[in-house]
Parts: sequence; C-alpha cells; structure tokens
Amino acid sequence: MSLLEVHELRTHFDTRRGIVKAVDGVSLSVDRGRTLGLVGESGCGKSVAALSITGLVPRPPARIVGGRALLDGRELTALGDRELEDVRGREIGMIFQDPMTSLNPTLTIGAQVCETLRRHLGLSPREARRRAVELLGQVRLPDPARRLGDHPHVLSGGMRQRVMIALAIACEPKLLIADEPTTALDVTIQAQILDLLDELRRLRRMAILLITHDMGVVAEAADEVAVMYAGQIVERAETVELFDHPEHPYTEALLGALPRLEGRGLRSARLATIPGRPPDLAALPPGCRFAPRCPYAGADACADRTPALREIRPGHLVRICHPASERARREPRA
Amino acid sequence: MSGDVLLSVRGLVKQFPARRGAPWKARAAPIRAVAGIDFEIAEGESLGLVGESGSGKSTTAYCVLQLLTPTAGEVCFLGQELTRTRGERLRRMRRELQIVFQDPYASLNPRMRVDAIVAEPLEVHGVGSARSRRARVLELLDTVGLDPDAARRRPHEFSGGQRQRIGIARALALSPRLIVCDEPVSALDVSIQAQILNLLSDLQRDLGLSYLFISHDLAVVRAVSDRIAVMRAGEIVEAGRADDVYANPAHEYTRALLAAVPVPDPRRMRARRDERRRGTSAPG
Amino acid sequence: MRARLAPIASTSPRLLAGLTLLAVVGLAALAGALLAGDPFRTSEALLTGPSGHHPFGTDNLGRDVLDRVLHGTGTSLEVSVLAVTTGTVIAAPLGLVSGYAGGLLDDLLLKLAEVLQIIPGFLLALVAAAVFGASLLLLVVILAVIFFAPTFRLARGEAIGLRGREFVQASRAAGAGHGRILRRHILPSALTILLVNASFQAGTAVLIETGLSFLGVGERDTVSLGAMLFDAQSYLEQAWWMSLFPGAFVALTVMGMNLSGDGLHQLRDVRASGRAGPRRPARGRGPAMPRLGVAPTPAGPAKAPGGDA
Repeated sequence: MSLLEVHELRTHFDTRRGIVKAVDGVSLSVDRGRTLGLVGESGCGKSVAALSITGLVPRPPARIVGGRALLDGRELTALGDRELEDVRGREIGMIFQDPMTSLNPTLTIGAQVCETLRRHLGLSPREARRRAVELLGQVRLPDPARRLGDHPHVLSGGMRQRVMIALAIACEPKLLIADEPTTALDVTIQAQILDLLDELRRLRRMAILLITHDMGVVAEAADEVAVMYAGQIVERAETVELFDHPEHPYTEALLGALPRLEGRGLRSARLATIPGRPPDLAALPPGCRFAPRCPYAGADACADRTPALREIRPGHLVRICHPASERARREPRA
Repeated sequence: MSGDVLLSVRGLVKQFPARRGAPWKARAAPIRAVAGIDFEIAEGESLGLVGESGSGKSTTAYCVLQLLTPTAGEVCFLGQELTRTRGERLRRMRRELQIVFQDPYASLNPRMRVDAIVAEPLEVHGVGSARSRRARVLELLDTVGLDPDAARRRPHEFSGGQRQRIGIARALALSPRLIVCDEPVSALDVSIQAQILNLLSDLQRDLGLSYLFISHDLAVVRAVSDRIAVMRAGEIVEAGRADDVYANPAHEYTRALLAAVPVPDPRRMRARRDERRRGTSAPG
Repeated sequence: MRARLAPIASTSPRLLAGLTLLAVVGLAALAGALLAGDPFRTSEALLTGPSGHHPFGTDNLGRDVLDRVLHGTGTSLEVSVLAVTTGTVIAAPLGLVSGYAGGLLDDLLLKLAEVLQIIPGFLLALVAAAVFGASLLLLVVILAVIFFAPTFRLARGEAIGLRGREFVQASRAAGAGHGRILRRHILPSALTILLVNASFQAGTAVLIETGLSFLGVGERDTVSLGAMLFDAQSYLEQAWWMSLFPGAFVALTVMGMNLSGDGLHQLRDVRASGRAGPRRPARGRGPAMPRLGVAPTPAGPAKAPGGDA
C-alpha cells in the first residue's frame, strides 16, 4: 500500500458565478521514498488538490464533495481540525512557493523553527534550539547557529527556502508536499534546492508530492509524473516514459511549447502553441475538457462524454479518446 | 546585423544609496545595481539581456527609458543623448522607445477601460482626433490578437496572457522603433508564453521592430534574440551572437547558468544531478 | 433603477444598509428644517412622556423633544459634512501631491501635518470657544483642523505607493506629465480610500460635535443633539425620553456613515477585483486558485539589489 493514496478527490468552490469544480476526480498515490510530480498550468487544480489533502483549503467557499485521501491507511478527509493540525505538523510537511510570505517577517528564524519543534515535539527551549541548529545544518544553511538570530528579510531567497524546508521536515514527516518550491528562485539555486530535497528524500525515506508547472523540474526531480488539466488528471506515467512517449495531446503540446535551449534555427522557428484557453471551471463542456483545444478532437466521442483514465501501457494511464500511440493514421484537425 | 545602430549604451552606472540604519552606525556602501555596462542595438535587431535576480537587468531597462536617472554613463538613442534630454524633447523621443512590463496584473490601471489604456500614449502626444484614436485602438487590438469588444472592458476581465497582449498593444500605439520587454512572459503559463513569444516575433518581422529583451530564462531569450548579453552583479560578463554564446559559452558564469537551466529530458537531468553529487561539474 | 440597485445590493449589502440609514436621518433633518415646529418654544407641559401630542415627549422647559431632535440632527449633519468636506478638499490634494513629488516639498508639508496632528483636538476646541466664543463656524474649523493630518497622511501614503506602480511607470514611459499622471492615475486610484476615510470621519465628527456640545462648548442658539444630551443629564431617571431619542439619532447617523464607508470600500474593491495587490514582481504563478473571475495575485521574491545565494 502506498504511503499516500488519493481516490477520486473532488473539491468544489461555491462562488457567485456558480460551482467551480476545481478538483474533479483526482486519484494518485505516492510511495515511501519516491517523488510524484504533479504538473499543470495555473488554474488546473494542482494546488487545490494538495490543500484539500491536508485540509488547508478554506471551507467555505470550498467543499470536499467526494473522494478520500489516505495517509498510511488513515483517512485524512475524515479527521477533525485538531487532529489534522497534528498530522500536518508531524506526518505531512509542506513547503510553498514564496518563502517571504510563508515566514513571519517580524520573528527571527530561530523563534519560528523552535516554535514548531516545541509545539509538535514538546521539546524544552534548549533542546529545541539545539535541534534547530541541527536542522538548519541538514538543509545546508551556512553558519546555522548564527542564522537563528536573523530575520527572514536578511536572507536570500534560496536560504529562506532552505529554512522553509527545515521547518517542514522538523518533525520527521513521512510525506512532504512541495508546492512550486523553486519557482521563485534563480535557476542556479533551483538545482541546489532540488538536490537538497532529493537528498532528504533518500535519507529519510520520505514521499514527496512535488507540484509545479515546470516540466524541467519534474524531469529532474520526479520518479513519476501526473499531468493535470481542468481539475482532472489526464496522464500519469513514470517520468522517462512520459517524456519519451507522451500520449495525451495536452502533454504533447506542453512539451512542444517549451522554448528549446539547444539546436539551430531556433530564432526563426515558431513555438508550438495550444490555441484557446482552459475551460471555465464553473461552466465545463459536457464532453472531454480538452476537446475545444485538441487538434485531434472528432465530432464523435470527444464532445459527448468525459473519457475515463485508462491504462494504455503498464504503468501509463491516460484520459483521452485519441492517445498518441493510437493516432498513427489520423490527420490532425486544421 | 544590417541596420543602423538605434541604441547605444556606454558606461551605464546606477547606484542606489544604502538604507540608513541607526545614526550611530556607519553608513553602508551604496548599492551598485548597474556597474558600468556597454551595449548596442541595431535596427531590426533583438538583444537579449539575461541574468538572475539582482543582476541589474531591469534596472538597466529603466535607465535606458529614463524612468530612473542613471548615475553615470550615456544612453544614446537615435542620435540623441537621452541623459541630457529634457522636457518636450525627451517626450518626443519617448514615441520611439516603449516598454512592455513583466507583471500583467500590475502594468494596467485596473480602473481604466482597455481602450483608454491603449489610447493613452496617443492622447499624451496629441496624436489624431478622438475618432482616429478609437480606430487606431481597434487596429492595435486586432494586431495583438484581441477581439474588438475587448476595448470596452476592464483589465480584470482578462487572463494574464490577454493582459500582456493589451500591454503590447499599448506599447505599439505610437509605432516605436525599439521596445524594451522586461520579463514579458515570466508571469505566464508555458502555453501562453509560447503564444506571446510568437506574437513578439511576428511583430518584429512585420513592423521592423527592435527589442531589448530582458529575462532570467535562457530558453525564452533564445527564442527571441539575435544577440545576447549575460549580466551578473551589475556587469555584462559575456556578449555575442546568440547561437555562438549558447553553443560555446566563454565565461564560466555563462557556462554555469546554461548548465543549470532545466531541460525537459529526464535522462539528461538525472545525469546532471549525478555529476553534481559526485562533485565533478560546476556548481549549479 | 431596481436593475441597477440589485447588483449593488448583492455585492455590498452594507452600503445599502448604510445609505438607507443616512436617508432616514437625512429625511429627519429635512423634516426638521421644513416641517417641524419651533424647537425653542417652551410650554407648560414639562417633562411629559411620549404622547400623541408630543411623540418624543417634552423636556424640562416644555419644549417638544421631537422638534428638537429633528433640528438637532440637521445641525449635526451640517457641521460634520461641512467639516469633513472642507478638511478633505484641502488635505487630500495636498497629500497626493506631497506623496507623489517627494523631496523638499514633501518634507515641508509633512512637518506641517505633524504639527497639526500634535495639537489635542478637544483642548483646542475648548480654548478656541473660550477665546472666540462658541459658534458653529468655529466648530467646523476646529474639526477640519483635527482631520487635516490623518487625511493628508492617508493621501500621501497612497500616492507614495502608487507612484512606483507599473501602470504609472507605463504612463511615464509614454511621456505623460506629472499633472496627467496625478489626474488620471493617482487620484482615481486613491479616491476610494479617501471617500471611505471621509465617511468614517463624518461619523467621528458627529461624535466630536456631540461631545463638545455635551461639554457645553457648542453654540447656545442652535439645537444640537449633544446639547440635548447635556441637558438630559439631570433628568436621566425621570425623563428617559430626553436622552434616548437624541442618543438614538446620534447612533443612527454615525452607524449610517460608517456602514456607507465600509460598503463603499467593499463595492469598489469588488468592482476592481483582480487589481494588483502590493507590488510584487512575478516569477511564476501564484497558488492555483480556480478561475473565479478574480485573478490570483502573482507571488515572487522582492527584487532587492544584490544577489541570491
């Protein structure tokens, strides 16, 4: 059994314009010691899914209308607020995109780390301090003892993110959820942070749910990738398999839209684009959600029903009527 | 490139005074955001200015546009030395030099209608009549791929990509020769990014524009630039034709930067990671 | 009309409630000016409770409390609206220009505002009343002075925040002059908060005026709610109507103003939804909230000069 199992999670938002189906039937699993990359563009629901799993999604206006999330067999969606708080501190660690807004600017680093340690592990102030220095060392923050007295704004973005990671792993969680952990960082620091997460994963046998929009990040850091679109998972496979043989037109398009770093004639070439925009989650089309933008959509099944997630190859799931490998002789729609 | 030199920057320096701490503590040294750089842009050419945060690239853009006053150096545009141009003459120069900003949510006044936003440069310079301006606005919206009914709406009704198009329409209003693009696609999703980059390329080709294209994303810069300059800590460490620099980076910082850019190729990324673990490659 | 009210009512019930209260109060004041009897007419019927002839009862001099309350409300509204309008019309533009311009002008004006802020309002009022004699005009002037500094600072703060915003930079890049930028960008963007501020100040003005009159500083010849409360002190037990009705009208007026201010804020914020929050250069997307017609605020690092490590 996987450490984290999510079955058909559905989270809807009650808004003035109607019900927004932000997460509509998401199933995934992460094993100990593995990283699942959840990738998608803004508005696809990946962050909402993570927040729903940990009970952090604001209710109201959100409602978890269906599905379950299980951590080590324990159903998170059935827990009360107090219990969820304990789980969040001790079993699930979370890091977010912008460390500047996640850290309290008026408190020192030491105060914030120690607070977490004392709250969840019940350590004495001295023990908490000692452990805090140890943690900051584990996330490779230079000169950790001195850093305890610093305020967040003194540190650079990369260092702040390391502090966030330290806070997240302080209580030895089994699962780490990282929501766009490197997006706000420079490219050279990004690699360092991803390396750090990888090292921690191996040393502590943590499971990591890595949420990002960046295909390059999942290429490096994820063992398995799930692609989200309009509140649903549209493709899931081992990373190498996904990049070598993408099946869903959206995945193909995402990969095609990335500007290339190497090659000739890049200046004059146009980037492949996906026409149109993601659907309005409050007014979803009846059939396949990607159909309006899909170059292969036919007037047939695509418009009538939402295709189910099916296993096209062992370990490779896709939700589409016209996966790439079955498209051999089909002409793309103009 | 074949064209004449449009913009020539020499010895550009921009210094910011350090924050004042307590009166009895010694004043920290002023911060040199831009520490003396030179570059040129010819007609019809696109120069990519690449660097990480704090490298001074955005400050450079603001100095070129005279939105910030350079501490030292020259900015020569269309034969005029901008740092010594004031008042009405500077205003007239602005017609040829425009900017597209990074943040599509902050660069448009949320209380103004789109047609007013796009027409503002025309109004400021007294170009045409109200009717001809309206027609021009519709023309511009069409050029950037927006429907004419967008004119009557307000920014918050549009997505990030669409707002960026509005910003581009505004920049095109006065038919400038050079557009400074300050991280124009950094806040956009990949698929929208591609649309905007294609649009910028098309506009360059169709209208004979020149770009100073600023970004931290090496792959994005590659798609749009003829030549590139790499900035670090306020200085240009390497410059040259894009193809050459990307293929054979001379400076170690450029190499480190290129080595760190994520590519959507799992095997390559794993190989890089393994190298880093073994400590054999440059830190990145 | 109904069609236009409906969306306002749904987005900001507070505004509707506030405006309704103010309408009631305003009507009362109008009635006081046009219809009601003479608030100074004494009669033999001393300290009688509410009745058909005197719906709000009579006071210790036999004066009809209803007439007095209606007149008093008018006075309070007059004074507070006049004072706040004067104060805002002077302080807000100065504040906007000061914040936008910065430099020496800003330093000087800020010092002026600070000086005015240091003066304790009530004390000033008492002293001025003793020196110049109490009058409504004096009250208006004192209130305007009291409100100058907060309004000035608010406007100044807004202008400082706005002048660095990208859409203002865009306007500068297009060649717009300072006048245009102040008129077309700074003022409209700051307007909401200035109006909200004014409405709260109006409520405060009513209370201050009431308080001053209560202390006996207000003008002798006019009726004011505060003066009525002053008179009612000695008769709290015998004639509850002398304090309840004026007090209720004070409360209604202030509440109406506060709710309106609150509601206006709500309304303008919802209309301009998706307007950028505090300026943060975007690097990547913010947390992916579903598209609700409200754009997610892009998050990113503050661009500090100096590298990242």
